[in-house]
Amino acid sequence: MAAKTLHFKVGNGDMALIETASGRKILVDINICATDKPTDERPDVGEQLRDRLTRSDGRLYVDAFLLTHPDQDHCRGLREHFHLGPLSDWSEDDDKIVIREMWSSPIVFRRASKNHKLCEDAQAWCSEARRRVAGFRSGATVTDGDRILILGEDIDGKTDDLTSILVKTDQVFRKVCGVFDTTFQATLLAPMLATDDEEEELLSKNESSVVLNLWLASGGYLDAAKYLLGGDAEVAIWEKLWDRHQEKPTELEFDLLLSPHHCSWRSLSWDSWSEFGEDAKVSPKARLALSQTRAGATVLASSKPIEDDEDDPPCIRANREYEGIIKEASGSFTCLADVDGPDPYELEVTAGGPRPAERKKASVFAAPYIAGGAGAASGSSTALGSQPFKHG
Amino acid sequence: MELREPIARALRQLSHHPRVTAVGAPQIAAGAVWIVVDFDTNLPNRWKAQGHSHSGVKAIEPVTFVFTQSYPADAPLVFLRDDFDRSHPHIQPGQPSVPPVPCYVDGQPREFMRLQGIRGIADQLSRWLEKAAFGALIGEDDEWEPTRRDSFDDVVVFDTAGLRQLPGRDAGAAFVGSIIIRDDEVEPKSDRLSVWLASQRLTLNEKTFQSLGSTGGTAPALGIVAWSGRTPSGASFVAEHYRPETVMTLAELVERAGELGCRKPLVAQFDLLRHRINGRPLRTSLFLSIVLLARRPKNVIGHGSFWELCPYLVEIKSADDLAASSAVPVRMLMHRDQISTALLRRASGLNDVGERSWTLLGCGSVGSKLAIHLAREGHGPTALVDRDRLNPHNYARHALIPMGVSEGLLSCSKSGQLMGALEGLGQKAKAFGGDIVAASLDDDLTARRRWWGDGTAFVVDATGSPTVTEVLSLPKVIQGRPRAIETSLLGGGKIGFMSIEGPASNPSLLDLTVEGYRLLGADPAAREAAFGHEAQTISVGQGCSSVTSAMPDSHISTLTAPMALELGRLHRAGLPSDVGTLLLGTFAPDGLSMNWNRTRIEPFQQLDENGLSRTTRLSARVVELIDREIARRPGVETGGVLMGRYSEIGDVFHVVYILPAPSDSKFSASEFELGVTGLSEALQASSDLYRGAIYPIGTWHNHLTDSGPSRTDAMTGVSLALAQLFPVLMLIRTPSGFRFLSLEGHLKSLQPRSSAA
Repeated sequence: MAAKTLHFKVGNGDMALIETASGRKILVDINICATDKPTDERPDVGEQLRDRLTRSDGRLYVDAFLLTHPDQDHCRGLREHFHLGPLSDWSEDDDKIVIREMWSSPIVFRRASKNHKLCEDAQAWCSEARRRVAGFRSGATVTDGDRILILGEDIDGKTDDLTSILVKTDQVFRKVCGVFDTTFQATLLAPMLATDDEEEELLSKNESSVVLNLWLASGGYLDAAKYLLGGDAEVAIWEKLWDRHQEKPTELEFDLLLSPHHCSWRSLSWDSWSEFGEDAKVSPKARLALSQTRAGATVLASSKPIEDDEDDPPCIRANREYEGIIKEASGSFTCLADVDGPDPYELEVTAGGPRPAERKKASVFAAPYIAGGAGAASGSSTALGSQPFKHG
Repeated sequence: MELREPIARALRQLSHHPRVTAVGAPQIAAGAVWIVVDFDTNLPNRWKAQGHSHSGVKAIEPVTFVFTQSYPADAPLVFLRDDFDRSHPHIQPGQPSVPPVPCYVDGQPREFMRLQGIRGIADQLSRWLEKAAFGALIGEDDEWEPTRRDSFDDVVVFDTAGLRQLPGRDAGAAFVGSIIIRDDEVEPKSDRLSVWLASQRLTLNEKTFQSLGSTGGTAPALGIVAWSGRTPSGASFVAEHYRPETVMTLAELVERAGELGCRKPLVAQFDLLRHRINGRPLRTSLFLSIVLLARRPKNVIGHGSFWELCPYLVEIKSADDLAASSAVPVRMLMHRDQISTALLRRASGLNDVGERSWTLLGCGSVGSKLAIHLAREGHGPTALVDRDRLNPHNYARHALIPMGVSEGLLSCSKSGQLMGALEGLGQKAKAFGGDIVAASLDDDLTARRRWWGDGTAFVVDATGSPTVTEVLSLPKVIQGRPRAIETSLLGGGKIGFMSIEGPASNPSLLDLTVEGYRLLGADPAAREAAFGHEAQTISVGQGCSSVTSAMPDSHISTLTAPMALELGRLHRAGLPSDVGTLLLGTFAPDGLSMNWNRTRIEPFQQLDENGLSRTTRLSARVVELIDREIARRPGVETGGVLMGRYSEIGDVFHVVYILPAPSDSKFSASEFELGVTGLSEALQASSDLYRGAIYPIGTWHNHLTDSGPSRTDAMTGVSLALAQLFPVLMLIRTPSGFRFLSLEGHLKSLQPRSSAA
């Protein structure tokens, strides 16, 4: 089975489902809005997600759920669609999705008030994470539905006792739900532990997102595709990442970059786009951190359509910057809002890197068409006017 | 330039294909229209950036479509660019002067285009190119791609597995027998030869040698098989370098044998043959087939063995032609596997489940069709029993066809003829004559043992003989035989009847027959077909009267093919482990559509009484109906009428349903008295329903304590028996089980015949 990644059309927000070659399903952020009338632009992503999940013991589940950071546009719909609390409380009537293992930033240990208020879904995430951490701390055997990984150390040694459920910065991890998966590996690039108070102040203001470099295997290559996922990390984080990895920039290398903060200018520059406009200066270090492309690399913007206006995100200037980055790599830039139809944008991972899967779409021909409106190559299983196989 | 409409239409369709990026300007050459179409090969990011995949497929591949005069009757020809790497599998063999041609569809492109149009061809090409980009045209299995040959001259048939048995540890070679045929009965005549090779070693003595030589249509010929052995270090020699076929002359063939590690034994065999020729001129040329066995590092695709078999043919006119430097031309043989059970199973899409022997009783029209169907799946019967002969009129419906005029004139044993046909399908069966009924009644087991020995999985009764059904169900026969399946046609071919015995033959064939009659009676259409006046004969098969059940062969096939399908499933999966099964096939009014009903039949309960040889068998349904009736009237005795059949051969009652007690019956704690109101009407109605196939055979009642037949019961039995012209059954249900009483009126005196006036 080939690894696949699905990028849901959620406007300015993130939501991706990563399926490793071994079949593990890793969800990265969600932004599921309640919707009565789904459209191509605002599809029912909750239903789309459920369609892609499988059941075990009658329950839908994801193997891991990575919440890059607890902003509303990254965890919207958590309480409505996901089961929180012990598995014994799961109800068939509600039929919510089980999270076998949470992948959470250490922000769950912070007081919500410190920098910004948490939305209700984020609070629910934090309390569920704390429940699972408490379970681990109690020494009880932890099973699916109670598992958690904390991605990054927290200040003041708050996470020192977490041992096997703690992933430290720059550490590589290859387990899902306590089991080695030989078809993926992830390097935790951020959050980074601040070295002093001043830095701590700076880093925490700048959206403490989890930044991962995720490798997905295919055709015998462990690094068949490298995905750089950066949540909403902003310019300070990317500058610091460049400082840390400029000696070994392959740590930041990617075949696919999910452009941080929905193609925001703030990940590339200290200057405000609305104030400075074209005079805004790009941060050379942040740009370097975000331009370690492999040949043919793709930059994906999970955002609303990018217009030539003062909006940020998504920002036209950031778009142009990424176009420049991928041009050298003969790559491509795709904004999810520009993808046809309501279905998630799907990439399949091959030995030659990721490539877009065929999209099902309506026939490009006006019916009736003599020999098949949409054949197999365009994703349809039957062709109009085709005949069944005869044996003679 | 004006393009023909179909071509213009094809170009429009191609240009709209999602993978087509450009359609070039049409060129006309040699009466055909040539168009270059650019296909996006959907490369992944990194390869796309590079412009090509690691297997050399470009991001955009130009494909040349050639529309000949015969388009759209024929598919367009399709060529890849000249420098497309020909080492990809699924590229048609061809000369270097012709651009590479992809094998983009399994089968004929012309027929494929009928199914999916030009659009389908573009889809298929897209898929081919995409797979080629990944070097995945033959999947990712770790198997050896057979040597590619660009053309074939002749066809050779041999048993692959048999030839692979020949090699020992050391390099060697062997002569094998061969037959060569020039197939020239069909126009247009071709010079293609058909060769067959035996897989047993042949000693080339003078007598054998003298018999060789082409003498016309079919001729004895000779084959040499050569194989590699060990390297000086003692390890097996492995031909691990892939090389396409290049052999043109015998000298090159010898060189090739060297690469494959079998030069020495091959040349030694050539020398033996030269020695045998001994300078004499050959009367006619000798066709010599040579098979080189190349030991590959991996299993050859689709063969499950590391031996690749490379067959060649040379025509020898003198001893000198066999010299190692001979320039005698070598013809390329295309190998076709000899008929074998493995080949038939593969072609039938069935997994090899191993051998499972079964016996066919009755080799008439139904039996022969079943046998041939199963044999074509590689699972033919292993024993055939039929005492009849295949007479000329049988060919109207029998599966066998007289080979040539003479066979149709003769009357041969049915089982023997069928055995011969199975042999042609590579399967061995033993054929027996003899009377199944006589052998079943015999206390001597010998004949039956030969028909269904210990290893026999099941017996199929296709005799269409109710007598055979009865004798097969005798306890002493059941004891020594595997489970049986009956296949017959009822109602003059209107109904297909298939019954499958339960575990330990319970329900037995006879139980299932009686249950079958009950089920048929419940279905108005089937009832008329099965029991109607037209249905003079019950079944078609060995015992049929060919006059009353005359029907076309296609009709019998319609009914027997589904039964063969079920038989094949049973052969693979085994018979059901819990119950018996009845399958009844009926036609819709159009006489074409069929409906098959499958009913599970639970094991029957057998009742024996001390000192009585007569037995009673109750269907599970009857037991349940009786107990339900008793539960309805707690504290009193109740009863009713038993319906079923009595078998004279087995001296056994079969009870398959009950009629309720008439309304004027008396129910009390001490006695049950069967009433009469409406009873005779009910019996008449029942008789009309089944036309006598199911009839009243006695009564049942219950006792509230565990007691056997009472004095009253015996008295009643006597009075009933006097009125019934076959034994009467009185069944008693007690709290712990069933008891029965059976009596029969005696023959007192016969009326004297009035003397002929």
